Amino acid sequence: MIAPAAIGTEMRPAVNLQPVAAPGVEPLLAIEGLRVRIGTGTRPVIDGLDLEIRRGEVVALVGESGSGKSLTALSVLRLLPPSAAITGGSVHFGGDDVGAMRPAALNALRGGRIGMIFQQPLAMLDPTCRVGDQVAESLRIHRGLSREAALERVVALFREVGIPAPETRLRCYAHELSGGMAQRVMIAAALSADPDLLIADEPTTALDVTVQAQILRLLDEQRRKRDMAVLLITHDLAVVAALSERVAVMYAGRLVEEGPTREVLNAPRHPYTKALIRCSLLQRDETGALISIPGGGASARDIASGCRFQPRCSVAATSEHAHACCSAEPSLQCCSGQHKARCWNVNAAPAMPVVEHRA
Amino acid sequence: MRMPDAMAAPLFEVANRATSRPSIMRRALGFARQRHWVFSAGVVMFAIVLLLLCCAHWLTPYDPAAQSLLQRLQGPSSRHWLGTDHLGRDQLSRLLVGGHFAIIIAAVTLVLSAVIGTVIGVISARQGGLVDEMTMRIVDLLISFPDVVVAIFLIALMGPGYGTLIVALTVVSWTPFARLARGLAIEINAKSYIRAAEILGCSRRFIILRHIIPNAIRPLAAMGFLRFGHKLITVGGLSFIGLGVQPPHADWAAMMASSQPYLERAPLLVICPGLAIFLTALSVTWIGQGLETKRKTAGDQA
Amino acid sequence: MWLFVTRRLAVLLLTLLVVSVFAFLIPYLSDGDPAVLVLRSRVADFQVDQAAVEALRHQLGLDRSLLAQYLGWLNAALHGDFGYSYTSRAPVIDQIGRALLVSITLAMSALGIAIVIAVPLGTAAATRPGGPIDTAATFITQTLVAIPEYWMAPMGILVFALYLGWLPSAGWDGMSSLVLPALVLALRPLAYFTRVTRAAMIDVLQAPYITAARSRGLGMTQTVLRHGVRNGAIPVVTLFALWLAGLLGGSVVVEVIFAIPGMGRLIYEAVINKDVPVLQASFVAIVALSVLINTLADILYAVLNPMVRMAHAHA
Repeated sequence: MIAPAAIGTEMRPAVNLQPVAAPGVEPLLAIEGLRVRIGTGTRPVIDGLDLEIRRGEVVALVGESGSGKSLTALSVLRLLPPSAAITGGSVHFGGDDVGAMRPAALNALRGGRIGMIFQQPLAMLDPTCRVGDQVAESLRIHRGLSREAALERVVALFREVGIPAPETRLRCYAHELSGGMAQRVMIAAALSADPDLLIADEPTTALDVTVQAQILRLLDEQRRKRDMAVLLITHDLAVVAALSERVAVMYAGRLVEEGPTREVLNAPRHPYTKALIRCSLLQRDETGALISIPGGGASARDIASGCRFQPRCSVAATSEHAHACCSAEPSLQCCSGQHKARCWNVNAAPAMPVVEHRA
Repeated sequence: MRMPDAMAAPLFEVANRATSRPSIMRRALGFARQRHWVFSAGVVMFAIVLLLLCCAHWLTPYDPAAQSLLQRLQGPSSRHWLGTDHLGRDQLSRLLVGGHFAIIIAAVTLVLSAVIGTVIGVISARQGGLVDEMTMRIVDLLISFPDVVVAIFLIALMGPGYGTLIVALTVVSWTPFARLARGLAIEINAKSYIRAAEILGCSRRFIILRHIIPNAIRPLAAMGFLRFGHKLITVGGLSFIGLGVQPPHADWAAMMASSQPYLERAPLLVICPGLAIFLTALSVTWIGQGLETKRKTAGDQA
Repeated sequence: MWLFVTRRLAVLLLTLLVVSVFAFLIPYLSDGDPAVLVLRSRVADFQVDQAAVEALRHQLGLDRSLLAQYLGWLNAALHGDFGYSYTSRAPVIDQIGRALLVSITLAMSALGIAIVIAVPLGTAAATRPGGPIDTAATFITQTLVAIPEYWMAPMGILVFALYLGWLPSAGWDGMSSLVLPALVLALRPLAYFTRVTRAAMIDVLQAPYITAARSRGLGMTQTVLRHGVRNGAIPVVTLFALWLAGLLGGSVVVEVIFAIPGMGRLIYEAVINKDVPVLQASFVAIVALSVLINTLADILYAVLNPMVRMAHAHA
């Protein structure tokens, strides 16, 4: 079993190409106080989310299912399903307010300045349309190419993302591709217009483990080559460690911890993050049972007051802030440098080492 | 079925999902309480129609067959609320008894089609392979035939009569049931709780009684009610062109046909029986729609 | 693809062969001696004269073996010769041709009306499920399926022909006589098309590939046109074929009410008059056409849906 620190040093990009931007430099993507509601009358599923991504930066957004990760991604492109709606906050991309964009500007943003890839690549391709044409679509819209010119460009793109025999693959339908190949097609489509930001929504979750590594390598290569920012949505901490420079952990519609990947994985401050790391390492507790987080999948709607993680928290009940944990929600506070966590005990309990023993 | 508790628990939960449902009565009440107004309206309308038909014998003010040429084509009056037809028969009395034959023929056809179709569909699904392929090809072929035309051909071959009518309508109308039952059988068989029940060692009979039938009955019933409305209209169509219910029995569609020449003079004679067929068909269609809608929303939640 | 088409055509031919046997056997299955039937149709004041019946039987070739008769009949039928109608004495094939043309015109008009209303209505309903348009559309379709056409037809005649005098009440004479029957026939398919379009479009609009297409920068209209319509059309095409086949002859009640010389009316009169050659030929024609239409629909379905094409090609 490998400690997160070890994952980090082994698989992480050796040099951080993008130095942390000086304060005052405008971020590429700025999400401020985002609120998303599903249906009516319930508490928002995303509740006051703040997240910034600078040019060329790879940020991972982590959390369990239902924590609002994917909805955050769709909110950036304003592509939420009809049942969900943005009820507050703002999204700025390259200084432009996405919320105020007219449809034409939005369409130029989608695919043009922000590319997106998804969890189920096969379902994301129209079964009745040849994949070449679907990728060409993007080029025709954003680059104004003719169908022939676009298809020529698609061949080059396919070659670039490692699709063998691109000329014949152009004429394939989605059901003739494997999952990994379909994801490469989706990546080609997302990259076709040279976007500044790539949103990757669980890009490897549905794929075989061996294929996962290939796709991750491809993503890493491409983002370096193009100097492209990436918002990587995942629940796989190994992927986080391998690709991202900064990580934001989401719980029940809110950020609970944020900071440089290495720091967060080595010295997590929030009990949820700690538990998440333990779970993903398949550690055992004192009795020898595998560690799991007690309680069910979190949804922001069930919490009355206090810290949202309090009902499942292992620290809350015994800590000196036990009362605060139940009555008021902590704010996202700085613990060291750029590392922030939303926990009453963030400074009381020192960053305890997660990896205490090996099984 | 002795298993370590820790292992049995999650499996049994899955297996139990379908078994631990409330009784039929409780479910019916719960269903009505959910205010599927289309369903409720259908049930109320259909109940009224059935009640009127059952009590028609005591309700009819006149003998439905009694002719009186002196009182031909009279308009509505206090003596004849809906007037009289071209032979001077009381329209209201004939209207009250006019649904008997059509509804009985439609119901018998429906039950036969449903039973035959379901059996064929389930067998086809269980056999698979060539049997399944052949059956479905035949279904595909028959399903595209207009039932009126098949009925007409068979009547031409076998001569008119209620037996012919029922056989003729059943020949075409078992196909939708076969298709539905086959689909359901395959779908339900693949469900995880059936697998779970099999792993738990439940008997085949138990599985069929507690899992397959409860899950298949709703869609089949929905289809049944929808087809019932359709059958009723088809039987009426045949009666309308003189190949269905034969005189001297009063029948709504036959009444419309015989009053057709007097359409301008006495439009009520055509409007009222038509309305009766329409409302009866509408009531069962609404019941079917209500059942079907519930199934779909339940499916969405799952 | 071609393998798929060939397979479908083979099934089609096989079906036709089976149907031809049934059609040939019609006079033997029905009660009554064909020769007697023919005589009865020729001689008004008919009394069974055994000698005449025997003579006619020989003349018609009814004394040959059944197989020889069938092959003879099939050979003639393949050359378009279905004999002469007992009642009109005209070649059956001509009658069938004329009647089919009328029925196809009527069916296509009715289905055209239905599609033109149903597809936009169903799509509009699908864009906001549960919204006001959807509620109204659902209610209308639930009601339309329960309306008998033999009730709607007299109502239409009453209002548009007798009271308003805008349209003829019966007959087959130009566009104006087509309007009422086509409208009456359109009601039920209208309901089914609306429902299927709605269901298909709801599925399609929620499909992940629609979100993916929008994430590439396609506008909503463009997305629906490029990726929605083709996927949504697949079930509608199937249903259209089913109805087209069903209305050839299935419109018998409407044809009788409006005195339209179509297939339905031809069959109806042939049954009443026990006109065996017409029955045989119309039986073959109706089955052949409905199988043909469904085969074409299957092929079109495969063209629209590459997944099906593959499955069949490999099967």
